[in-house]
Amino acid sequence: MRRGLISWSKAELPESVLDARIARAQAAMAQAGIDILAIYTNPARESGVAWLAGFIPYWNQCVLLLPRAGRPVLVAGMTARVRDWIMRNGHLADVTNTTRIGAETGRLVAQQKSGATVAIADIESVPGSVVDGIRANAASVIDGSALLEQVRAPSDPAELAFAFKAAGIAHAALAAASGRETDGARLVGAIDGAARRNGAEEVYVALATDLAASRRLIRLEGTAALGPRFAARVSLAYKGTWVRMVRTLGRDAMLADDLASATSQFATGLAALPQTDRLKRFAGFLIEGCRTTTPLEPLVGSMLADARALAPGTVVTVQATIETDGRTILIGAPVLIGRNGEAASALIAPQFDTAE
Amino acid sequence: MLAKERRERLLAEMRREGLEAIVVYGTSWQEAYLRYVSDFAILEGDGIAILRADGTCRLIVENMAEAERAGGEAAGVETTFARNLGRAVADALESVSNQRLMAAPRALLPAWLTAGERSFKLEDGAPLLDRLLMEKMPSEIAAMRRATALADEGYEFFRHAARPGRKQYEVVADVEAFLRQRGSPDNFMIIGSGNADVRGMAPPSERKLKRGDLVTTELTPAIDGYLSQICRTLVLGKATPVQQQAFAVWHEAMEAGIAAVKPGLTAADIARVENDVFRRHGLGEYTTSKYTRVRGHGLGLSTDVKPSLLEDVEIELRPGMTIIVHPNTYHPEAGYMVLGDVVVVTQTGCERLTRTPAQLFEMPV
Repeated sequence: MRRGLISWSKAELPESVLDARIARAQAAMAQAGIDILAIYTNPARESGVAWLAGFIPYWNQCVLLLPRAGRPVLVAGMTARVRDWIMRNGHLADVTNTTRIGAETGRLVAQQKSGATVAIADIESVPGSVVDGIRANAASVIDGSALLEQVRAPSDPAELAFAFKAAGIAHAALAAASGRETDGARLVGAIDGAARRNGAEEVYVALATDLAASRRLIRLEGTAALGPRFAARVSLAYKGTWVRMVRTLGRDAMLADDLASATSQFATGLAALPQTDRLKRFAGFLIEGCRTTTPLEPLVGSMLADARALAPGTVVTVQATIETDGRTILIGAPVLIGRNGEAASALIAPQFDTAE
Repeated sequence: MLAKERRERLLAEMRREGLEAIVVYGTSWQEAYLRYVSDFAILEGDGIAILRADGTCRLIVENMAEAERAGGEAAGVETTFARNLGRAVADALESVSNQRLMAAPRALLPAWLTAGERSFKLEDGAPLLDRLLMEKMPSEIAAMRRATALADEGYEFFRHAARPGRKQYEVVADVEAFLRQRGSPDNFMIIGSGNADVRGMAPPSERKLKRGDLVTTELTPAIDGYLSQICRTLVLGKATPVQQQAFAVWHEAMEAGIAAVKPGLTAADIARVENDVFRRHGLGEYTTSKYTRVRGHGLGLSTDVKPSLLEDVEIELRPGMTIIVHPNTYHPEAGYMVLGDVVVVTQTGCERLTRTPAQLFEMPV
């Protein structure tokens, strides 16, 4: 559950930007004959509602209903005591607080329009109780995922600015990690604290505590000793926009040379995106991004059987495992996929000062 | 070890019920069932675990990073990634569709899984799992003791981090870093600061703390997956007579609630005892849902396991339950105030686990 900074900054996300997004969605709805677009949100699936209304739930679940005209309304699982907080932090016409979220969503659908056609984004992932509540009060219910994906891409300047800010926070957080550190919990504390102090809404830190033993990035419970070479991944959000960044660090003599080589190879791989041929030469890679409501959806990767298209003008996160003579480097950074023939570029280079 | 004990306890219940499998859904704000069954603390996306009567456990997640993590964190569990969680779980259940199956929480299962055309029927498994989550084994209570001790330490740290001029989120960031360094990977925390204008706690904002502020927090660190909580209020400076008088009501209500906790009584009984104190002081209006969510709640593998302490919750208290009694609400002259201690229900009453003094702290500025 979220406990970082959650607040709608109208300086960074003006109402006019959200109005423009709403207008784009409503134009697409009109064209598709959709009366209401329903977007489910919770702390693990926040991206659709955060994009359209700027609202991020710190816990619990909500459903946003966007009619063909006007601002959206929110059906919130939180009690009425946080109603004012929700209204302050979302571009909403109204909020209804309820513990019966499916039934109340259905009631509002019927109230908005009798015999409505309702599109639900990511319908198969939405709780059945919500879908059933809507279905019981609508003439037809369809999947709204393609519509939401279509209106979200390419990212607008405000969304890109959030991604750049998130990337900067991630870089600063990993820069707070010391290669001389020997205790995993202390390393996690340094990264987590730095990210939150810089305004991260949420932070997840995963470590591969000894790359000679395992490349797997896990969350520590308690602590663990750090080996001569280890890696840290920070996944964080700023105002609903998520990025990941990965840094390998440690005390072994070959690290600096391996990092220089891996960083160069990684940069070459990134520049070639959306083509992934160069990334396929690595021991492993994964590209994640947000298309609809899920923040970091797997798009393309060495462990994925199928691939999703990388939309031009959107931000993705790329992670790679690069081997040099049996020694491992884990590296990762957020990347902007180029538009109109422009090359892809890292939002912030995953390079760190290794002199400590 | 804890995970193995939990799974064996659940398997014994499944045998007693004649269940072939139990299906549990989890996401970051509804993590308890999934953690109980698979020992995986999910953070990103959704996950569903299927525990079969033969003891095999399969975890399906929709996020690749989570799949990697689960492979290293959830012992004795086979983890797979699936783009469409509902369909993957439905496929996995086809082979046992003619046997008795339960799922929890049913209301949050992906729509695909609950659609009428599926070949299997998922009974409601929440009552069974809720009982196991509430009535803890000794090893679980030991984990709750450790988590409560860390909550005490965390609040001590918080008291000194909350200084005039600091923004709410900066204070919370410092507490989070402190808890991570102490090996706690998770914490639920909300905060409030100000005076009569503050009607509740929320995630931290950019608001700067000021001299004279009441600063409230609910701090909930996890140890081995078990979350314990502390609720306290401090004043940046000297407390005013109004603040002191208001706090005295909160203190009286919490102590009355804790004194009442014993097996056989219900959650409603405890809530009523707390609220009666407010009613006696003419503050009954502030015990309603307009101002407060609950008057306390269970703790364990999530911050909010059953029972909720509310006057309409008739769940009976039983030994092994761990509960925070917190009469948190709004006071019309002082603002939102919180106070809450964790207790474990014993055979004859309860034992208080929280060690931090139940007082309105005055912090020199």
